Amino acid sequence: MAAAPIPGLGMRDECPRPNPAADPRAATLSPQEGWVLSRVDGHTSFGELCLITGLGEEQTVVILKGLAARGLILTRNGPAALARAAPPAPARPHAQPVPAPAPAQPPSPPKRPVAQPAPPLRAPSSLLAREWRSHASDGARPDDPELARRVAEAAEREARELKRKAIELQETAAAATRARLAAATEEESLVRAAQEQQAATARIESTLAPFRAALEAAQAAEARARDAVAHAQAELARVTAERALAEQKLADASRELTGVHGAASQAVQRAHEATQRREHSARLEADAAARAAAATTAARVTEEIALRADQHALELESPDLGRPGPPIFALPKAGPPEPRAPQSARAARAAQPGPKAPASDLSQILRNYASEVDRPGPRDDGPEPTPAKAARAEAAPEVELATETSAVVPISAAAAEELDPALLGQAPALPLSAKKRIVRKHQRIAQDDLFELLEIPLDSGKKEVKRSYYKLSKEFHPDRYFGKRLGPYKALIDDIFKALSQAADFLTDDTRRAEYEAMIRTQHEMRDLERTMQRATEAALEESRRLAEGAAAEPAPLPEHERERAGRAPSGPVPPGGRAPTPRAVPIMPPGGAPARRLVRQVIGQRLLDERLQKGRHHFEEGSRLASLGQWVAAAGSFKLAATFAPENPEYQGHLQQAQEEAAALQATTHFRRGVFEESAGRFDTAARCYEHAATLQPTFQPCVKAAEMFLKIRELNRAREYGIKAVELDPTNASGHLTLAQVFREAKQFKDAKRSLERVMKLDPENKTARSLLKEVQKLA
Amino acid sequence: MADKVIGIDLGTTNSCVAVVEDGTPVVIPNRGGYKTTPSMVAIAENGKRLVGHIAKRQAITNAENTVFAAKRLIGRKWDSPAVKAAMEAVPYRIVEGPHNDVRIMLRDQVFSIPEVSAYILQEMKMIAEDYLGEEVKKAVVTVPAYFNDGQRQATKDAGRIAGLDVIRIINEPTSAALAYGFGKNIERKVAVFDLGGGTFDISVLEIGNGVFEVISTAGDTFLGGEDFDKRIIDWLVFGFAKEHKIDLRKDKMALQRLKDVAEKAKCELSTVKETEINLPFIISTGKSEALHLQRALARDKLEELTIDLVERCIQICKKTLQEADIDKGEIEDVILVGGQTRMPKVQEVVADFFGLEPCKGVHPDEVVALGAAIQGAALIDEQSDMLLLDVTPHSLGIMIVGGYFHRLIEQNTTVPCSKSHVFTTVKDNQTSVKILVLQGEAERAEENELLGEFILTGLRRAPKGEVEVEVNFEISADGIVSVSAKDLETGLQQSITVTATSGLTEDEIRRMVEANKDYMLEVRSGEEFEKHKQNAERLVDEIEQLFPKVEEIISGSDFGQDAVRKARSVLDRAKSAISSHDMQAVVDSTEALTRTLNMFKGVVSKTKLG
Repeated sequence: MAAAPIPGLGMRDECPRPNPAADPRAATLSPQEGWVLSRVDGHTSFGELCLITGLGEEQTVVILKGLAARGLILTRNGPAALARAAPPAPARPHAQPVPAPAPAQPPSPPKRPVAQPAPPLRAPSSLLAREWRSHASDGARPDDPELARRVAEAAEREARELKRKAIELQETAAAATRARLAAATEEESLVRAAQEQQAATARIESTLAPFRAALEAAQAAEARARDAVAHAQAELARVTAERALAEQKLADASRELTGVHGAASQAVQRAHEATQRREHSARLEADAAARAAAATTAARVTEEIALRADQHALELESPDLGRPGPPIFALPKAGPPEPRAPQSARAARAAQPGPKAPASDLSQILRNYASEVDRPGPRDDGPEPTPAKAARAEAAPEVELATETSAVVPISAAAAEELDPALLGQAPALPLSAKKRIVRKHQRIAQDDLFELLEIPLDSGKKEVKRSYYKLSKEFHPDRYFGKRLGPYKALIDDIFKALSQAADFLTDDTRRAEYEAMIRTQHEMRDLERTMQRATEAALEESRRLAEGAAAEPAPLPEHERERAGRAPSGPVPPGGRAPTPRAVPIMPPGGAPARRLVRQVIGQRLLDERLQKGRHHFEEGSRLASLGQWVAAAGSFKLAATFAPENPEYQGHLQQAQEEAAALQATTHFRRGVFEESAGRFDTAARCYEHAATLQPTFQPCVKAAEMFLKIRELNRAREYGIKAVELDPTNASGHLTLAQVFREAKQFKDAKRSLERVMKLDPENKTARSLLKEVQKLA
Repeated sequence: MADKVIGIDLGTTNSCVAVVEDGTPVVIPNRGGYKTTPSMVAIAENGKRLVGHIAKRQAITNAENTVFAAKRLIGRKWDSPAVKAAMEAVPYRIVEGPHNDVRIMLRDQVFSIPEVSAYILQEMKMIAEDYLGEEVKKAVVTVPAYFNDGQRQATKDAGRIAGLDVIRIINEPTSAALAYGFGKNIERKVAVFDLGGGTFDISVLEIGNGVFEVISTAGDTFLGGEDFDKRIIDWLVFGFAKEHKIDLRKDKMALQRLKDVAEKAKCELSTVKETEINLPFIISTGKSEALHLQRALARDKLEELTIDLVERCIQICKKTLQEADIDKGEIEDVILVGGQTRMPKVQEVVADFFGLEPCKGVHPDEVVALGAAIQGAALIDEQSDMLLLDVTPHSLGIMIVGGYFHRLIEQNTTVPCSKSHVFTTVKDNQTSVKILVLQGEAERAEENELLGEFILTGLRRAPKGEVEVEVNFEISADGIVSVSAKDLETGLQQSITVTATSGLTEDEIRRMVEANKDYMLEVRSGEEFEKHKQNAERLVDEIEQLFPKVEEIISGSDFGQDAVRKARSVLDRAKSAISSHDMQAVVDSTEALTRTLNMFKGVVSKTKLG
């Protein structure tokens, strides 16, 4: 089974080695011999050497033999053996037969004369061969030492058996001869018998030959088995040595690792400290801003409260009411004023130099206020929202809060919560939590700005952007789901990752980021301001309502619609803790003394009216000041307060309306600008939503027509039609509105409507080529 | 347990294979015990395929039939400058393929480049299989960062021909950084300085939180370790010429020996200060006397001979950092890749340039393969905490009016990504647009690689500039580019998946896969047949020598005559089996021959005794 030999050299797959002890320069070599010698490296076999020298097999073999004979290369046969084998003249392969391996000791044939021919014997080698083959077909490897040993044993057994049979046969033959000898007396027959015996011996001899071969094969197999064992032992030794080396290396590496680890943990510690310091200062800054905002609001509220307290005091002073009785307001039993949040107290002091706020419900209100205003919005959370916080952000989706001034319809806010159960049922390879996260994140792509998408605060530096991007990539990169059946999730994951990497790219590009950040910042600030404003206004309204009800006098009633609004639950999703407590201040009339009470009420009523008018004036002035600064949102808030205190003053109402309009316009402009930006970035769905916001805030032609265009692009045809129609209504003389609407109709296969719109375009702008060619097409289809 | 995925660094001069075992990446040594295998393929005189070390050791004496640096040609167009340059530099014959691609002619047989690369990949696959003791089906293969889509696709095809499913192609510097950052929680910007056998690359990557991102990459595709060897060879040749007035380069055998010894000396000089170069009997003077070459080479001398090459690397680094607008000070670590970076002078100059000691933790020859193995394991392992953010190496876009190139996806954009842009018609009543998908950085469309093209028809007849067509490009995580064009009015859409033109059609690849399988089968059975044939021939020889004697002894009897007749027919059958190359018949006849020979021997020895 070994590879074929190269005559006179060794096995074809044997790799000769250069002899390190020999000095080639001492020998005289030709360059060709030097060349061949230089190819011998201990890894290249004779067969391969013949291929690579480029001299051809014949010449290479001759040179190799010569080199081996001179001891320059080492082969398995040894130089001496080769020297003998190598003839001086090149030998043709096959011309010199390889000496047959020494035959195994044959069983010595009997020399005795045999009278009878032995019966023919079955060739035993076929039996062996069969066994070999069956082993081979069993899939065992022929060089398996165990198998070889088994075969060798079997062969030996068989040989012994045959040998025994042969000896038996020989004995039988000898007995026969003896019998014949006894019977035959004639010399002639004796001679014949002798001849016959000779023939029989010859035949037996030929029969025995296969046994010998079998024995030979068995011995060869045994030798191979021994070789294999030796080889395996050598291999084991080598592997052991390698393992030792590997262990050594491992030990080195772990020592090194420990060092690295130490250094790394120090570095991490330092980095951690730095982060903490930075975060701390960021928090301080945010805190200060929040406090300032709270202060402003609290001031406004405190005025309100002061007003009420005033009235309360008045009532208590009244001589008619001097006797002890239940208080007019069912105030909680007031002890000393409770400690208050410092900023609220400061605000209260600053805003209210007049009579002290006497009751703890005031402080309660203040506290509620302070805590609410203090509470940072979801976007002002720490630099990296924890999953729990993120979940909260989702639970209360970011909706443009519906303000008094502009009721913005939340877009797909409810949809964000609704996870399609059919979708969640798919892709069983994914855990449910991952699926939910993917679907939620995907829903947010169109709504979130880039900072929200990367789950980072506005002022995050490049490092934070990258860090968060890497963190989210590990969640949403398609490679995380390599080889999994993702079904519909594949597209979602792709979308999310693309959005993430675009966002990271964008936010790490200084120039592009600056503009974007400013825009988003304005939007955020406006939103925050609106939110604060809204809460303040609501609380003021509440207070004012209570005042109106609580006062026994007959103050000018609140206009019907205001009352209704004030009594209604706040329309924005104000956190439950943030609402001012419903006052238990239901007035309880003291028994008796009606005329006196009426008088007191009149007095109080007058005073209250004066107060109200004064407050109203004050807020109006404040509003005018803010308006002159262009701070329309804040101005609208002040005007709102003014109008609440003095609902009968039409001037306040007028200003309020104007400020509201201006504020809405401002917001609309911001949304519109972002829309243009998103459109240019190719995020058409986001752009569509921005234009839609703008159009809702300020229903003018431009945002409506843009919204229609975007919705047409993203194939939301119903919406596109809605805004197209709105645009046309807003400016029936603008051809482009009709054109857009026509395209929407055409897309929706309402060809007649499309045709009508196109005809309008043609009337308005007879030169419009697009309309003309579209009209031609639509006329055909209609 | 999922299938093992091997990582293969298919290098210009050397290749390396690695696998992750029990969470640890290891390089697999080849049969000779070496961790790298030369990326060389040769066809020997008898048509046999030689791969790796053995091909290298005969490269010069069989120069026309030995392919090296096939990587410089893979995925290239026939008319590209790189191919023209290679044609002048290599001794093997480069011919034009049927699809404007490149083929190589070896001993009258034409091979495509992916085929040649496949033979190397197959060798690496076999090395891994020998080591693992199981079949290997999947691999991650690395390519230089500047490889374009065609070159990557061609590399993937090579894998297929070799019987490997290449689950991902990744960039070499990324791969090196992956191995460098493996198991460490680091956040830093690193440079990968890769001076291999044939090419030089410098890349900057950002590593953070187990994520690896390439920021910029550049290099010189004709600068590498072989240039250093060449300097040593020249020095030896000139010295020898001065002394003996003989140009050793004219003798192929001498040149091959010079090449071997130059590389060896260079490697030795990385650890010792001086080495002896010794080539006995290198050439004959013509007077029957052979000459020796014997010289000492000191490290200082080598540095003197090659200092300009080292300087060139640094110049490229400087330029790359400048263009990418990266400050040297931002680089927090330098990873050395490629055997040539073991040269102390290179390390010294690099340390000097970056102002920091290069990282010693990675093995320059093995790190790329290790990274590929790590990525392979990370892809199939759900628990893995490793993620590679690879980028598109080149910008992608379409041709616009005037023959200009309009980029939709900028180079170095992280994949997967998509981008769309709206284009309009340029002629009145234009009813169709042809979208030519291109890859490259040139302003002119024709200077970039054409990846594919398609036509969007059925546009509305309208004045120019009015019909809007939105073209959308998308690259998947596997780097597959698909392009679609949509008529924004009608919603009509046309799209192609750009199966990058590797230069081979699907049919061709399938045929090559089959042919390679057949060859491997044939090689195995050929070796077997050769063995059986030689054995049978030996038996026939011996029997024939004994034939006359035996005939003489036993033909007297009927019995003997029958035996002789039988023996003759056995011989005839054996001979015809040998000549008809029928292996089964040869095997069958061997048994009969053996019996016959034994019978003959028995008869002869008996007669002698008698």
